[in-house]
Amino acid sequence: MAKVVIAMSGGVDSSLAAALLVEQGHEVIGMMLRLWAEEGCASNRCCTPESVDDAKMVADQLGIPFYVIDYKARFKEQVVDPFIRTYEQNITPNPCVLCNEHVRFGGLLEEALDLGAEFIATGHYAKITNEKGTCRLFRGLDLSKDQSYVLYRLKQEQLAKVMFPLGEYTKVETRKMAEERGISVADKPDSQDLCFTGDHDYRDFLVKHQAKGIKTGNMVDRAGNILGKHRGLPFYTIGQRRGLGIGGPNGPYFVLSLDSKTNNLVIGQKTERGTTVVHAHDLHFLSTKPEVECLEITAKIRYTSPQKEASLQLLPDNRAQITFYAEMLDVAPGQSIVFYLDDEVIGGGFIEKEN
Amino acid sequence: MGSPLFYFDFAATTFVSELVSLEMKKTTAQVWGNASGLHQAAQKSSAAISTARRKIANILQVATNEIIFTSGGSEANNLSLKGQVISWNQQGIIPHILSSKLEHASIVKSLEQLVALGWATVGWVDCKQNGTPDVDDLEAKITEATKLGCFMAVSNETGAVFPIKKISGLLKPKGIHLHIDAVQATVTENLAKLAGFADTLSLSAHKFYGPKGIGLLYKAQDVELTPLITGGAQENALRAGTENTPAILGMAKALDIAQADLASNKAYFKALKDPMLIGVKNSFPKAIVLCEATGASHIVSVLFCPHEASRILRKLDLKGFQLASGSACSTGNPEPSASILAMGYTPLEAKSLVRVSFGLTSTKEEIDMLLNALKEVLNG
Repeated sequence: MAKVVIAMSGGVDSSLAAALLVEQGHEVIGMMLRLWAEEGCASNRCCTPESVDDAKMVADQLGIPFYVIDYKARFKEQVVDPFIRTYEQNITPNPCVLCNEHVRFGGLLEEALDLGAEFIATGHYAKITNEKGTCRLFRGLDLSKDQSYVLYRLKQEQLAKVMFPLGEYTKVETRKMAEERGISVADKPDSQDLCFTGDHDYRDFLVKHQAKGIKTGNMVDRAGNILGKHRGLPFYTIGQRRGLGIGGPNGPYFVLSLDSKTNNLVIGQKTERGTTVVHAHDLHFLSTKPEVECLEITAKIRYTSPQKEASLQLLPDNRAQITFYAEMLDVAPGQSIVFYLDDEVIGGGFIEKEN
Repeated sequence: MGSPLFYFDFAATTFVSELVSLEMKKTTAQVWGNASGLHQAAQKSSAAISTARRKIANILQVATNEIIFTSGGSEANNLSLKGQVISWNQQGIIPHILSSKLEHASIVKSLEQLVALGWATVGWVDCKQNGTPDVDDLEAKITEATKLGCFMAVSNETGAVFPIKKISGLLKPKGIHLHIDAVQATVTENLAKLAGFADTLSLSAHKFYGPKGIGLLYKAQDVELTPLITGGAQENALRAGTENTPAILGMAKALDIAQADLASNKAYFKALKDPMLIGVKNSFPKAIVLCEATGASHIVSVLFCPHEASRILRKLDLKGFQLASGSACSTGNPEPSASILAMGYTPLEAKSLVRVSFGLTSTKEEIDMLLNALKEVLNG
């Protein structure tokens, strides 16, 4: 049996995961990282005082120690600052991916090892196998709760020390098992909203943090016809329809791309939103980089999108071209594209801007 | 968890002693009337509270109508500061107050709030590396507008015993009030002596084997105070709310025991502190022991720089040793302690503060085990 640090959020998933580890006979230590939040907002949504209280109650019920560890500075530096810098480049950032890589797994593992633990565990619905020292990451059984998208940047040495006790269960089973054990914490919504901006919109946040280079410019169609003015490129998201202030006989307009060179916001009709070819950089593969140049995979272009069939072609400089068999709508540069072989997560990268 | 637990955080709070617990149990069952009523159940409560008040007044050697029961030390500190300031404000006076960054959060934050509201001005007295305020600087900072000085008797973070007599000697002749936060002083200092120097003085029962949620403010008769909690006329109309009878009786009992046993307790704590200090110095030559000359006998504070205190404390906790890094009122706050910074230490040093505080159940054997655990954590 091992000494395991479990990341506890006060929610039902991590609480049950902790309970299962205790039942399996492990020496379990609960932990929560306190993350940075915008000044003036009470706390980061991932570690509110209520979640701390809930986690403490569960830890007490399970008879395990529980520690809250301050990670504000690290979170600010490795997640929030890059978030602002990315928007400044007119690219949509992926803070949850960075947080999982550097803080939730990176930081937690460091703290766990410091306490002499051998493993960390979380309530993610994902699975890890370890064959002859090579770890592979799989989607959890419950596809509706699949969180593998945000885990694709984990390193081998991290995977080797991670346990996902809920990987074999569905959310319904989790809830039932928690109930059976008298774990009475609220089932918190698995929100993908920003955790650190409080009630503020990310746009207000960027203004407040003086993101550089935000200036008004023109809204143009693909042909370059000027259709209106925009307030600054970072204020718009690919696929955005509301707030453009342009209607007319041609139907609603959507944001197609953010052109940094001209400071133009390119907008167009619904039919123009699709693309089949996506380029990605800064690739990361969980176990080994595929040896073949071209691989048939499925891929996700955002956390909530379904896996779609595509072919993956590796390019020099740790880049790749992904060609989908059907049009993908609103592909956003800066977001992660994650590669799957059936239910295995093999890796991914960051979506590039198309010129 | 399973392994035996060793508690070294008595400065944060103590357990409730058996005698106090019995007293409270009895009171809860038998003396439950609302003391403000006219019937016999009320009279019973009223009489019990009066007896407790008299007992406490006797210990402090003050008058019974100078004791105001509060919910604890933080409320008593707030009541003294804000209550006096509001009274001065009503006379058109914006008082100047002298204090130091060594004080408890309930003093520092109250003062900051009063300054932000424009109700008072504050002069922060420089601190010495021995954990006490610089009395020369205090004297230099006194102005004609100075109305109040706020200083603790014993530091909750370092155990430093403040030169209250000297401070009082500077303030009293000038008619400047002195508020003494004596919350951490009850187990080692003579409270009657302290009250003699004070215009107001705060205590909290859970620091001396009494219950939580009860404390008191001693207020000399001539000090004008505006109540912060208004309503009924309890506590001389200075603190409204039905009295917490069992807690008041529990506190009186606990205070009685603590002050009666002062000398023997001090000797007992010293018998624990000496080997602790020797052990720390022998095993961790680079560690800095704070306030060695000025420290109260029940607190040992050590800087284990470059080790981060929170990491040390978690590891010790997993071994069953329960300690703190300074004030419990700032736990979870990543910022280094303002009082350790005020003493001239660097933020990195301040973040390495480990406080060992002894209680009446601590033993020499436990100290030895703690020293071994520290060795494993820091050198292992």
